[in-house]
Amino acid sequence: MTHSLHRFGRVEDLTGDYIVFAMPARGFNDTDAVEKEKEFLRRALKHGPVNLGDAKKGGWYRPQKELGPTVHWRRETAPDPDWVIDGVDAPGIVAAVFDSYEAMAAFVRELREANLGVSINISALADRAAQCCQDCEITRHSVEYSLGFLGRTDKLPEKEVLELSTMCGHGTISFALAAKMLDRVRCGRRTPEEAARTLARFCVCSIFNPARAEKILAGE
Amino acid sequence: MTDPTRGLFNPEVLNEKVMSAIIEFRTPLGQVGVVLDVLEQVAEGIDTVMAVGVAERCGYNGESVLEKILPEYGYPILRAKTNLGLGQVEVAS
Repeated sequence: MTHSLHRFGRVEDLTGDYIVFAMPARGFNDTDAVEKEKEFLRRALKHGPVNLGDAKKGGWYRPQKELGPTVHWRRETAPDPDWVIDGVDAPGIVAAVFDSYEAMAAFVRELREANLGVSINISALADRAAQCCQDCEITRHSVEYSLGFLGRTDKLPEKEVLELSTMCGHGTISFALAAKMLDRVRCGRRTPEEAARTLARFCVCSIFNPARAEKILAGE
Repeated sequence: MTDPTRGLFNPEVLNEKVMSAIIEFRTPLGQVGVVLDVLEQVAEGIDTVMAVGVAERCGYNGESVLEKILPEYGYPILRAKTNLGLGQVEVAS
């Protein structure tokens, strides 16, 4: 079962999109799971992730409860990794997102040495994940391949909207919202960075890649 | 499901709408091509979009059979989710 596998995009775009997960198995290796997950996230921070978080509370761009009318002009948008890590309070899935192979592979190498004992998964281009296993001297256990979309693909939106929306595998970044952010950037009402961070707040599982989103929004 | 052997759901939920649903099943490696053909036929008759994925347990040295045969079925290898095999079963002290 997966919510990160079917991210739409060309190979050139996906070379900057890597997700590393940690997932304890209930009853098998979930003793001290919270501390293991926090350690996973702390170690990830050393390698410059573009997002990290847990599947229950989201990534490091999150909605805020105390907002007023001035939010459109003045809002704190800097990521707060300490807030994310401190907020992990129950066993679950945690993730770190990277925009470079080198950062991802360095993190995976460190995870291998740390031997946390929980399952570690990479969601990325298949050949890059395989290369990472080779570089880190890891024998992969299993692989799931994405075979794309079938059915009423005529109902799917334009390419850029699909690239943005599929970065949240739970569908919480609607096509309409992604299209709106694209329009806002095209009209000069939002920068690509602002629009990417807006979208990232809607992804509850923390796997949205704001760095990749910025490029899509900027039309690169 | 009211009949897992035939894939039948409880009639009470048939008209429910969901944001997403995942259907998982197992098949022998030799049947993957047949199953993919069936899914392509089914896809022509559904009024929605489905994303298809196929997973396998890798060999002793991490080798993947699907990596070789999927392109033969017309499915190029692009994205994947790879389990690194680093999970361990805790031993009670």
